[in-house]
Amino acid sequence: MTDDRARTASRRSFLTTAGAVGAVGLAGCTEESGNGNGESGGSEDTGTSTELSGEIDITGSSTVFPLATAVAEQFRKDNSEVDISIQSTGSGGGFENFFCPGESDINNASRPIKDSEKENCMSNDVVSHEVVVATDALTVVINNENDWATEMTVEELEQIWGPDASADQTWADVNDQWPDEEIERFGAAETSGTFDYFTETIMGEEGAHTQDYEPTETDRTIVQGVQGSPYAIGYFGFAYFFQNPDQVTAVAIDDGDGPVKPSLETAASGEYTPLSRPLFTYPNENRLSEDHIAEFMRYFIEQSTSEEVVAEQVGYVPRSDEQAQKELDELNAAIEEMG
Amino acid sequence: MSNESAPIDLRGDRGFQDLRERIYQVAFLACAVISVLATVGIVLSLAVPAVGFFQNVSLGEFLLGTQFSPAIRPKVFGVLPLVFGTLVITAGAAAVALPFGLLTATYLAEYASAGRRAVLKPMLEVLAGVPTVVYGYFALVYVTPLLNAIPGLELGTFNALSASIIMGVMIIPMVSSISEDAMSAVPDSLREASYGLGATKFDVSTGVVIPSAASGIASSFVLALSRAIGETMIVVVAAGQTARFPGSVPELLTSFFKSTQTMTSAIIQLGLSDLSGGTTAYRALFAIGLTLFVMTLVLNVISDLLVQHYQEDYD
Amino acid sequence: MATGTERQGTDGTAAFGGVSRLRGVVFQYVTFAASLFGILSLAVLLGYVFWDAFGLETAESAWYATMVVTVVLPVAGFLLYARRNPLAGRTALELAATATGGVLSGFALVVVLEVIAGSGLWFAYFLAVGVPLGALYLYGRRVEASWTGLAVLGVLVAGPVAGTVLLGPLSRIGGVLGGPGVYYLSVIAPTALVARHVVDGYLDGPNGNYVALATLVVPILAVPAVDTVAVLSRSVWLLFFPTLVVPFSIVAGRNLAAPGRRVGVVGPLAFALGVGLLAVVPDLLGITGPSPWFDWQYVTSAPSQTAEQAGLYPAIIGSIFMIVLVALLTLVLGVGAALYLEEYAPSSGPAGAVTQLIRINISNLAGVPSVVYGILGLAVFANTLQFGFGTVITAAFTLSLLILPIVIISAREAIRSVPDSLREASYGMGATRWQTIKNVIMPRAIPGILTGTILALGRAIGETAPLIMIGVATTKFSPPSGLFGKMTAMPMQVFTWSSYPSEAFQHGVVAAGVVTLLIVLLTMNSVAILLRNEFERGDY
Repeated sequence: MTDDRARTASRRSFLTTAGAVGAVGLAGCTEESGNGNGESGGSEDTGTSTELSGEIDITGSSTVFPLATAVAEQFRKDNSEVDISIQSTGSGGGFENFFCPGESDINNASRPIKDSEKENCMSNDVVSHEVVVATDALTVVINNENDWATEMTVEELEQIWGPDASADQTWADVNDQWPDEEIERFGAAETSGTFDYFTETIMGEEGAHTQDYEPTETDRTIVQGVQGSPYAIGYFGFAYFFQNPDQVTAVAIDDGDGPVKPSLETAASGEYTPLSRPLFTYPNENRLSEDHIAEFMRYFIEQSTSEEVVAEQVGYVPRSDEQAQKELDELNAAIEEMG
Repeated sequence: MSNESAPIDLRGDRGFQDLRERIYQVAFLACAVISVLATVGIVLSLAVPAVGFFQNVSLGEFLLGTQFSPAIRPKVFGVLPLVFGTLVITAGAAAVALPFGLLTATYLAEYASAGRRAVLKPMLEVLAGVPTVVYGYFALVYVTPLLNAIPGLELGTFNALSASIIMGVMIIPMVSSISEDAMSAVPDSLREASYGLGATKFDVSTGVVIPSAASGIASSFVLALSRAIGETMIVVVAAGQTARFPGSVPELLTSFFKSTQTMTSAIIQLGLSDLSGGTTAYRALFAIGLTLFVMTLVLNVISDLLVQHYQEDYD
Repeated sequence: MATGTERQGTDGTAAFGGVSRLRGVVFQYVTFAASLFGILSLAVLLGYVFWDAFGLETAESAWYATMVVTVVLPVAGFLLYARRNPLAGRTALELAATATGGVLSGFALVVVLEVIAGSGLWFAYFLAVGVPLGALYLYGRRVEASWTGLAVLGVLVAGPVAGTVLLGPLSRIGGVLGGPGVYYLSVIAPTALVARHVVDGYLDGPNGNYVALATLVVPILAVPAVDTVAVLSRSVWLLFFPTLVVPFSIVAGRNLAAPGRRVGVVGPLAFALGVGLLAVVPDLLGITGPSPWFDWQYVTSAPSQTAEQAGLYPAIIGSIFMIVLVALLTLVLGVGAALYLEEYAPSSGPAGAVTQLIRINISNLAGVPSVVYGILGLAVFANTLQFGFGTVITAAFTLSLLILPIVIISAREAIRSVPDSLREASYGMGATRWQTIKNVIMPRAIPGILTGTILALGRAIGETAPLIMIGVATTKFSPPSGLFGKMTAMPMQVFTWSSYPSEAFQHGVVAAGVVTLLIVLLTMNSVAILLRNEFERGDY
């Protein structure tokens, strides 16, 4: 347990490099917010000169949690007086217990807000404002020795993962070109947002998922499981695969327009369907009248285009400049409306 | 404290003094009553949401169901896999804690010098004082890789084995301290009678002291089991979240090597999950909590009764 | 090995054959080995985690050689010596525990008064609550008046209200005085009184008046020296003085005065000197030392996604703030309940049945799993009473309920250990129940109560599951803003980080968090054990 190369480099020398990188990153940030300033016409936009203070409570999806944490950490470098607490509660739990009762200012979600949740919020005079902050490309992975299933159709995925998949289903049962060996499945725990999205997208119905799979807690254990057998298959968010692309093979998904492999490009361009999902954050519109919350949201949207923060640090797909500009315009409109 | 020494004498007024004594008594009583309120609060905060749960899921379905899948269709809420997971972990912990705890108690009560006891006992207390999240981290990051180094043993990243071993280490002091008290309470006259008959120290320890202290030892075992059943963070961090119910004996044996879900970790998982607040799945949390509460309560009552039994024997 | 310690009967074995003697010896060794098993397992795990947290892997062998010479050999030598002279060992332990305990409680005081409350706010409440309480206490000691106790209750209720109403003008007084002035009046002055009382009442050492005088004068005399140290502000100095300097001086003074104990001072001194040398010498010689994760940067920075910049600061402050509140709540409620059960509760009749019910109830509450207390806190404090999710006050109340049964049980034991003869003597002189409690029982029970409470607080500071259930923040970048501010705590942050897959988090950042938590806990435990040893040794 001691022979990891990552730590053998002296920490002090790392700190100096990290400091340099941080400085470069900061320069990038101020530039970006400079642009935002010109276009949005806001007066207290940059955050470098004005002293913002106050509390921001963020709740919601554990999927968006790492991104929100990374952005909040960057934001606080310029606004140390803003007190941000982030709590990973799950998308639904966040809306139900925190956001709609007015407990939290912002709720993250790995799926769009449901109508029932909107109504619930409305009954407390809480109006949510939808912002897409990144895209996640759910990745189906197979063992590196598996050379037959590198491309799969949505129908094939449905057969493997659907509620009718039997325990002793073999690869040949799905496609007779494939070997006659039992499929071993590794998937997300059923209480997770990843499970929900995968099930609804592939099977088209909430909760319609095979019982015969190994639900795992972390992406790492899915990879370990898939590495362990040539006949294994698994799925998880893009992040872990992006950071460790050699451990397992990503399946190219054919949604009718030919097989597409998951990558930053195919997910951003919308080619990788149907498994790329938008990730959301919902500020409470009433709270946008508070400068520090409005400023944080602007910053969040600006950062959503940053490859460094969104892709390198967290492992999601950044948004394009046009998409972010559109979000920013809508947000500014909402902020102005709140006065 | 006598009347003469007080220049301003309000105490002469018995009525005032009585009032003062009354007020203190009531204030102290209020403090004691808080503990009763806590119990009422626990029962209510578990039972009220659990009622909502049992409107959708029958009691039989919950208590006898062998499958727990709160989000996969058909959604079923059988608590048995969680109870089974809890028992697997508890059995593993007991296999470590009971023998080691009992032997430790024997050493402390029968063999150790006063100086050695003075060193060992605080160190054992430290074992019970380490935060459970730290033990969970130990199990996940150090114990599992160590066990995996044993040839032929293939453990998952999250598994019941390392969690239960670590939990066993944690509850050794609980077994040893109560057992030691029970052994020390065995009157020396019993020991001397045996020595008089020519028995060795070993014979006396195993043949006289341990049997005489049996109810106290049993009480410590039950209390330790109750603690293991209610332990949360070790399993949340190190044992995983897969609810299993074995269909066969080999499956039962291999469940130690795999990810396991206990009642406590299911409560945490449901509390942190993407499930919405009002759903049956979310309310299952409270039904599981109620089950857990009742199980530990029963064990604690049994343990109390056993302790009273041995105290009556020698007091 | 411990044959000489067997109580009796070893001669009896002579009659039997060598086989049964062998069996006996083997059994004795087995029991001894078993009692070491848990301790050794923990020691190995602690070895791993300290190895990771201090980044010892990167150090070259010359560094280890330096460490052996400067730290290991002197300490080992002292330990060997302490085996033959237990009194020296005990002295060393006392000094070490007083020093670490003093540092820890100094931090707690700085956190609560300076970081969270601020001197103005603190002084307002000190004037409204602390000053009247102190005056009543002093008056009550001089004149045995029966209304002082009730007046204390009155101040406890009305004081906070008055403090809140008059917050503006009162804190302006604090503003005029400035931080150091406030702390001198509100912390140093009361400390002088307490020190006098403790020295005269419990210790057969110097005259309490001299100690009190020194407590008042030394902090002022030291100010020029303090001003030369950049990191030490005057306020911080004044807050560390009563928690660290005063107790340490008293303990060191007593030990130096006793001839048999004097040698014991060498141990901690050698250790401190060795660590100091270890920090300096390798740098001078150009030896590569370890690259610790657990360092000053770690305990003073906010959490980060980048392992190298991650820190525990908001969680440390949150934990300390919370535990101070838990301590206040459980001491008051726990001692009150224990006094009722031991001194007032009727043991027969219908009221006796109720008492019995309360007793059984408390012992069963002690066995309720902590996660269930989390559900209770969520329902009662966060939802029903609207204290908010994950706020300091919700966490403090929840954890107070969690450890209350343990505190009550240990307080009852401490109260019960006061001999009945003393009670009867007091009643015989015509004292009322309350007078007996105040003058006879409490002074003798306090050390035991404190020991039990500190051990229970150690349990509270490490609890995680209830915090998860009441919605404590997963990540927070600044300390809580007040009672109703959101918080995070050390074990919570360790839990959050333990699910980060990267090696640097698994073996670095989390290990450092574990070490921080363990240092706090071991300090609390050793202070508790010290208290117990100090005051339970043949007092009655």
